[in-house]
Amino acid sequence: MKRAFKFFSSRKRSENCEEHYRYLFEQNPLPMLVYELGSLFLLAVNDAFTSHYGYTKDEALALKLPDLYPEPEKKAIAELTARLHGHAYAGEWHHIKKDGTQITIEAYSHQFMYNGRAARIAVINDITERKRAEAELERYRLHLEAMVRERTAELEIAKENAESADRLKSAFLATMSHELRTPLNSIIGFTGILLKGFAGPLNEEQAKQLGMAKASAMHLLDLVNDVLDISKIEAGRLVVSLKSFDFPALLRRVIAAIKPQALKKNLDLQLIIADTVGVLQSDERRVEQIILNLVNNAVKFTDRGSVTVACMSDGQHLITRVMDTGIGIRKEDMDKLFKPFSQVVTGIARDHDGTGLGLSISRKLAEKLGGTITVESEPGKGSTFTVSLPLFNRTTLSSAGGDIHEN
Amino acid sequence: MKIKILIIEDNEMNMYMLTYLLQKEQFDVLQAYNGKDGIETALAQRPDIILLDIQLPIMDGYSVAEKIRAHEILKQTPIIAVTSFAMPGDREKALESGATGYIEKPINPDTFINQMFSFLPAELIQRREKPL
Repeated sequence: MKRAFKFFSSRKRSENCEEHYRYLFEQNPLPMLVYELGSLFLLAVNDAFTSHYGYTKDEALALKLPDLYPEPEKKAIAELTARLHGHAYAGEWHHIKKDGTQITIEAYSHQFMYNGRAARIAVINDITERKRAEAELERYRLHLEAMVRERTAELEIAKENAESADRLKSAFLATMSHELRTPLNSIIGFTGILLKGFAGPLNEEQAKQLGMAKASAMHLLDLVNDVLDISKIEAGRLVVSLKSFDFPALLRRVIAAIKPQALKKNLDLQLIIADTVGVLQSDERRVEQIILNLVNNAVKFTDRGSVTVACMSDGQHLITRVMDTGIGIRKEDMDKLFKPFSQVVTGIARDHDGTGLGLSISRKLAEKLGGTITVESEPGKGSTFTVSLPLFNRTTLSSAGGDIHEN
Repeated sequence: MKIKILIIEDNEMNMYMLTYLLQKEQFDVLQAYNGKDGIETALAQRPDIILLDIQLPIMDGYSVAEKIRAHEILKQTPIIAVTSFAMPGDREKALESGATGYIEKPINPDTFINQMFSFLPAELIQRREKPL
């Protein structure tokens, strides 16, 4: 500021200064013009003006300010110039170039004396591009909004469809679990009563055939129960109920249930429980289903040797291993093992009857309970299935989707 | 006097099966095909045991058990829920609504009676062993 002040202090420097200002005007990269107040004639234009508007300096100096404006704005700009004082931002207007192109501009102007005449000097900023970009942006925004609205509506419909499909699925499952089981229960019950001889003695062949009918019906019921379990899991409708229970007691129950089958095959069925194993907080019924399935499989697929169930705790997890000396599983079959409907060797499925759903259900149940099931195996030597379940289940196990009401 | 058992069951075949089995085992059987009928029969006939199906039309077994329990004269009558529900929590739900025991279908004719008696008081077990 001090330097500038000094600059204006001598007359010589003042002349020098005028030259400077002329230079600033002429060489300004923005178009500039000077117009006389009242007559509105252009008194001066800079190089940027002539090159931007396409007029020569002489042509420009023959124009009045409103001549630059399109017809609808001429009157308004003339009126505006009469009202402007000192510094002013004139706002957005349109100008017509010599070639007829219309541009959008904004202008800043200031009043001063130009060669003894009351005039205003204006700096013009061509904002045509900016306005175009803004309009484009606005168009995109509106388009986007429309798209979002459209998509939201589509999603709304999809959501409703999904929800109604979900309700249908639940209703289907509930109906199926009741409707499929009821006649089966009847078949199993009546064959049982007949086999008991209540309705009169049976001869050997009748007893044999009725026994087969009953075994088939039981197998069908297992299949129905497994399919319903899988469906419930897949539909996210399996609900677990957590409470603390005696895990060694559960293991002993499972061993007692399988013992007859093991004895029939002359297998050594062992249970080893570490001292650290006690109470487990989980879904007792589902845990029993998992362990029963694994021990049952082990006995089913082992023809000689032993099945050993060993359980220990690492303070965080309860780890149960079910080891057998059975047929084992080939490496390439390992992946298939836990997929629904995939008893690995379909050819022997008749020897080893089962639904092929047990392992897949067990793994999903274990996962639902926050645990895992893994397998190691060597064909011909045997397999080891390892179930790891968290000792304490926290609230993270809340149900997804609610219970099935089976009526 | 024979032990009197009321069966509340809507399915004709299940009703026949349970009735047949229980009569063969020397019990007196009363039948009701819905909850309302069941409660009325229970009040009028005072059975020693009630076998209650859970999947009943209109009024489900849980409500029936609750309503039976609301009557002073039936407060002590053992109610055994018989159901093919196989969902966790069903057993708890049945016991909460007032059932004494819970047997899952399909029933096993070889063990059904013993299963049932495992829920019953000593007095009934004695009456079964030494019918008066």
